[in-house]
Amino acid sequence: MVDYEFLGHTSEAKLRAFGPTPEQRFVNAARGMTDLMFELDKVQPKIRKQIVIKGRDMRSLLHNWLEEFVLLLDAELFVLCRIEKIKITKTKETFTLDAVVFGQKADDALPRRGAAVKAVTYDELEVEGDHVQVVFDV
Amino acid sequence: MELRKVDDCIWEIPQTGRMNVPGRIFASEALLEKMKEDRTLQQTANVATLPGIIGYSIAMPDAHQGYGFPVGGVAAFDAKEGLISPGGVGFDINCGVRLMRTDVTDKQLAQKRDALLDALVKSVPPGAGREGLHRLKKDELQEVLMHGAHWAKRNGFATKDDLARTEEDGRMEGADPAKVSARAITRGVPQLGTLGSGNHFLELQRVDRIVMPDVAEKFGITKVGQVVVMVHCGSRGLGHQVCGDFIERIESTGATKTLADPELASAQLQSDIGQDYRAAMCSAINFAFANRQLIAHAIRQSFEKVMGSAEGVEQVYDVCHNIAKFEKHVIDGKKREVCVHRKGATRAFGPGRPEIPDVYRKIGQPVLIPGSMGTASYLLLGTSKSEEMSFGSTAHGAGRIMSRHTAIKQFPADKVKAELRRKGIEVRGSSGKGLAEEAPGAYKDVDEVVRVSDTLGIGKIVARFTPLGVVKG
Repeated sequence: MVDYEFLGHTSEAKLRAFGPTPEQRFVNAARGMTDLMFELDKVQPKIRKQIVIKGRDMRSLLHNWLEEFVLLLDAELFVLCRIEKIKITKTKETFTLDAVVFGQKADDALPRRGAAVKAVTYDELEVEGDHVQVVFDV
Repeated sequence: MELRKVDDCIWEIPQTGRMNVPGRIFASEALLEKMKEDRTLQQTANVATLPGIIGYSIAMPDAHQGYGFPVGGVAAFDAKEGLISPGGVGFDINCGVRLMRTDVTDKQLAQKRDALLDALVKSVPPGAGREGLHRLKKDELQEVLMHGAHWAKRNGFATKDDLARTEEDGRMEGADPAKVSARAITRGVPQLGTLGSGNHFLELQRVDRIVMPDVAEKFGITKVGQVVVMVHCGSRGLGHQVCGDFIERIESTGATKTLADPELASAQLQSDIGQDYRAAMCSAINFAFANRQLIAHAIRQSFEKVMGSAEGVEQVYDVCHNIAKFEKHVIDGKKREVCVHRKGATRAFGPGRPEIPDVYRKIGQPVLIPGSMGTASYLLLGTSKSEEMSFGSTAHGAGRIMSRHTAIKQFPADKVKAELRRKGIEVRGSSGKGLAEEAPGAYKDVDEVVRVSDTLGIGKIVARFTPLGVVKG
């Protein structure tokens, strides 16, 4: 089974990511997002970052998780490629995601695909079942 | 979905179910068929369910499926009692188009075109993960957010005429940088002066046809073969984050649960969220004005460097096509102040409107409609008829008909590039899939889009431009 796939959407990019656990689906969604913008297999794990994301439910957790990488790209030119030690925990009203992520600074040598994610939308966002789905404004 | 033909190129979605007003579609039969292939019409009907919407939920000839609101949509709400919707403006707040005219002819450009493109791609970095050449200090950003293109003028990046020939004079009133989140600022600071990606571009174009010579002359377009420069871009990550922040904030109140689509998230204009969004949106609008102004400055510098002079490189106009603003419109015979949302639609005011620059007030405003990469772009004239029919609005571009994914499969990038070369168009910037995604075949026919605008009289064709060189985002 593929980790992720892109589905038809007239103006935007719709991504569906698969995996046996919610964590794996979140990992595949984030890697798929990089793949939309850069050639994923060319991205080197040169920089390590520890990140903590919070959400009020799984929907907002997925949204905020992906949005973090949009921010890191714009602000620091950080391009994600690998995710380790990802763990989602639920307390009373908050969902928390902890992960260690790896990537590199976008330099001129890194091949770009021509798209950039402007935003992670809630349009057609799905977190139930065996996949997660998200539409990016590109 | 039921559709009723009202007139040539005018269709109505009758008011049913939760709709508060009918939907109104401006399209030829061919363009309407394209809209039926995705959720454009459903989304137009969904917008009509928003409380307090006035008149119609409108879809322009280039409308296509967005998220929540269609791209190519216009919706108006009462300026006091009504709503404001981040999704009704779009993620790329003040995405817009700037047109510069020059004294150079296509023949004079020919030998130097590639060098000029090289200079432009260097000074206006395109694509994902790029930083602008102009690095802002943190305090300086506050000035940009408050004063837009006026900040640029104070720093020597704009002329007085540039400001006068920009919608809102290049500075939107009502900005409050304190309402822009730290995340949005973090995203925006490195990106001022960058082009962005996707359908954003900077093009060297030639005047291909002049339809209204008298008007064209007033807009600085005098002959076929004249070179013009068109820029299409917006507020970069700063604006995108502002939109996302406020959709998130509205979503967290639970207000979106009852909506036809969560991306229709809206707030009362007078509420705290509504006021805060407007102040943040205006700040992002100013960021985009400053961004396009820095790009205009880079264009002049590149002309100086490569062509020997930037004399005659003057701004025709700068329009916003993702925006919400207060305007007075006559509704049911009465003048009323409304908050017009244009998401992928261009203001097209006719003669006499006080919002139009003095130099154009007698004839109407210039309307800039960019085509997709490698196809034609247009200069139109705003009309009083658009004020009667579409809250003073017309189309904004070609509008996609094909998903990016399908386009990549259908149009191999090397073939796209070869085809553009065959047409005499040189491309810089993004290569690979980006070229395929933006292949002309992935878009509606821009000629058909402007034909509908012209036929309806909501924006009359003044001149047509074709590309000579593209810096692709």
